[in-house]
Amino acid sequence: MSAASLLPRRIVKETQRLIAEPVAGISATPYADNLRYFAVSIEGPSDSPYEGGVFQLELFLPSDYPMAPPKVRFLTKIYHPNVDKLGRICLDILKDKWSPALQIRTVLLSIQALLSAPNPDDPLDNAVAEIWKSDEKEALRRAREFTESFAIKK
Amino acid sequence: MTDSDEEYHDEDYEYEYSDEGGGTDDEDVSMDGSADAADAAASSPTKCMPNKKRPFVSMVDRRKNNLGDNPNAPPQLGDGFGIRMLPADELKPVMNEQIQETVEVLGVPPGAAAILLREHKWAKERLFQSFFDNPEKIQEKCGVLARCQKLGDDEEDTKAGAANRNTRANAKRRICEICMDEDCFDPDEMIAMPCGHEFCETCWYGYISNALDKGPLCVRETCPQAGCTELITEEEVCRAAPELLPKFECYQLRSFVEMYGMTRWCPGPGCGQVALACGGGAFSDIGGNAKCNVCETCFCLKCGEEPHAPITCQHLSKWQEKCKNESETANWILANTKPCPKCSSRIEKNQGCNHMTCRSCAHHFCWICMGDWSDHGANTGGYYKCNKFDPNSDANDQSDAARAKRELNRYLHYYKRFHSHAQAQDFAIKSVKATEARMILLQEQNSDTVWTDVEFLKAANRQLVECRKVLKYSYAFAYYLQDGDKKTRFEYHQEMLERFTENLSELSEKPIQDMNRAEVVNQTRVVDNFMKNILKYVEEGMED
Ligand SMILES: [Zn+2]
Ligand SMILES: [Zn+2]
Ligand SMILES: [Zn+2]
Ligand SMILES: [Zn+2]
Ligand SMILES: [Zn+2]
Ligand SMILES: [Zn+2]
Repeated sequence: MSAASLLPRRIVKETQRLIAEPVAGISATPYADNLRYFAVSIEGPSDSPYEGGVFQLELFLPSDYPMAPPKVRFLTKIYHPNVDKLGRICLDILKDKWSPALQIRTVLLSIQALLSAPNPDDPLDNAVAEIWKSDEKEALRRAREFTESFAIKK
Repeated sequence: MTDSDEEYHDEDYEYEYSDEGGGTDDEDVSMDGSADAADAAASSPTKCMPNKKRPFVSMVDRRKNNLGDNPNAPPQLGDGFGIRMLPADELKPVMNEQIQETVEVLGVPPGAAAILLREHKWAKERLFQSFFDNPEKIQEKCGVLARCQKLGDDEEDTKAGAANRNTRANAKRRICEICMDEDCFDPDEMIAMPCGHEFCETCWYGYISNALDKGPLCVRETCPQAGCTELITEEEVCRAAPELLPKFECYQLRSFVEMYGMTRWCPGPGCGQVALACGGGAFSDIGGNAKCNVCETCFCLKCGEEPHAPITCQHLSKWQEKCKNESETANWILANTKPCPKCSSRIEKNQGCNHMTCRSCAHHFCWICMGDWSDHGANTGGYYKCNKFDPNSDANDQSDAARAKRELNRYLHYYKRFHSHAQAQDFAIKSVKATEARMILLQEQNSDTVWTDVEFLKAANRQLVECRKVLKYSYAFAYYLQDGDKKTRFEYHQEMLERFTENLSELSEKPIQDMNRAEVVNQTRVVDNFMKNILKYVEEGMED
């Protein structure tokens, strides 16, 4: 475990807890060759157009973590006003509202909450947000369609 | 042309040919007003600075008409206002005085007072008013609620936070939510914010050094706890990272200088001097220009740009924005070489004067309009046309494309002249230095001459710098002027100033042996008077 011993205690502790006490609907596993790099999957919340889908994300802890926020990105294609085509996420705690007292766990919970409650007023993808505001029914249909095609294993 | 134009023209005539100095007797031509200004300033009392033994160093003109750095301008410090140029460090007492007063009036701790002031742009009265309307609301909004509330609590609580007060007795060791170290910490290894959130010393250090790496924004850093809006102050920095305190305080001071209405950084590159108003109100109300005592940069106290009369700060910033947006279009037109209109050989403009002489064919032409120079001088009875933009050329086409093209041409007309005078100004600045070398030469040629007798050349070049600057901004000013009588009159005067300036430029660029001292001295004065008159005329609203 020489690689792990180089990791700050906090990261070791967070990782252990994520594995020992997983959060419902979320999993995060570090890669063996880089313990700061996590494979994440989040289940679509049941009250959302993402229901039934499993979304893959990547999460990276930069060298100044926890003073700086983790970097998180969707790998699975998703139709959502706060996620752009590259999978980048618009979420305040990943930017100026980050606090070192937050954890990987809280970040992933916030992302899951964002799937339940999209915020088209603070969009990252303007085209998606436009439709979300002008024709929510159509937006939900497209989101379900994306979930269907990219996030559900057949 | 209106009657008043005629009148003005007669006046110009007088300027041009009057020779009050009598040629060689130049006692009324002040070559350098700065020494007088410094004297006058030293004797004028300053209100708000502690009386240290520091000479009053800056030469400042409190009037709005922008003559503060004109070497021939008389000192203007008798009106009770003053500006001091100080190293930033010496503004600490000024800042602390504001904080102390706020502490006394509002009954809040100093750290909170500094933040409350900053969040109100250091406008004390405004802060006091809104604070007394609803203290808690303001404290909460500014992130000092817990800090202010805590003042009334027991002294012994200063170390441990309010949240832990009840559990302190039974929980000896604390957990730090940042490092989550399972060994936990003794209470004295933890540092708490007034809001009660506490973290271990190591994490605090990391948090503060990370905040400082973000630069000036570090002064608005909140409590490390997620969602907590209480701001950190020098108190926490001092306890957790004492060696980083100077850096933090430096950012605090910087933020003060930037926001306080009575201070302005010297815009000189790498310069750390600050202009401080001593009485008389905020710079945004009183305006004026200052000259830095260290790097000699002159700047507008309202906006920090180079003194820019006759144009206002607002229009100047609009103009600069415009120039930035149009720079690509303008650039190809403004390449530094132009073909000679007669023989087409490329000519580089390497002197300040717009009167060009082609080296290949000796053709004389005007750099700005490329027209024959013989059409430009007063002696030919010709008219100095090149400052005039004719909006009516091809005005009948009302299509959008034609209108856009006309607007671009209108802009380019003013921009070309703005740019050309900017280049000539740079050239004149270099000439001031070169003149010093020429002055030595002049002295060597004529052993009877004393140094001060050749100062006239330096004064002429300084005058040229001033005139080029005023002309430059006069084109930005004219761009925003409505068409009409006022504009016609202004452009007429601008044209005159341009002519006098070109004339002085030419006289002072002559080889030393051909230089006529009396002529240069006289033209320097004529141009100076004329320039001041134009600025005064603009300042007074350009009424007849
Ligand atoms: Zn800690
Ligand atoms: Zn807090
Ligand atoms: Zn300076
Ligand atoms: Zn200004
Ligand atoms: Zn030629
Ligand atoms: Zn011309």
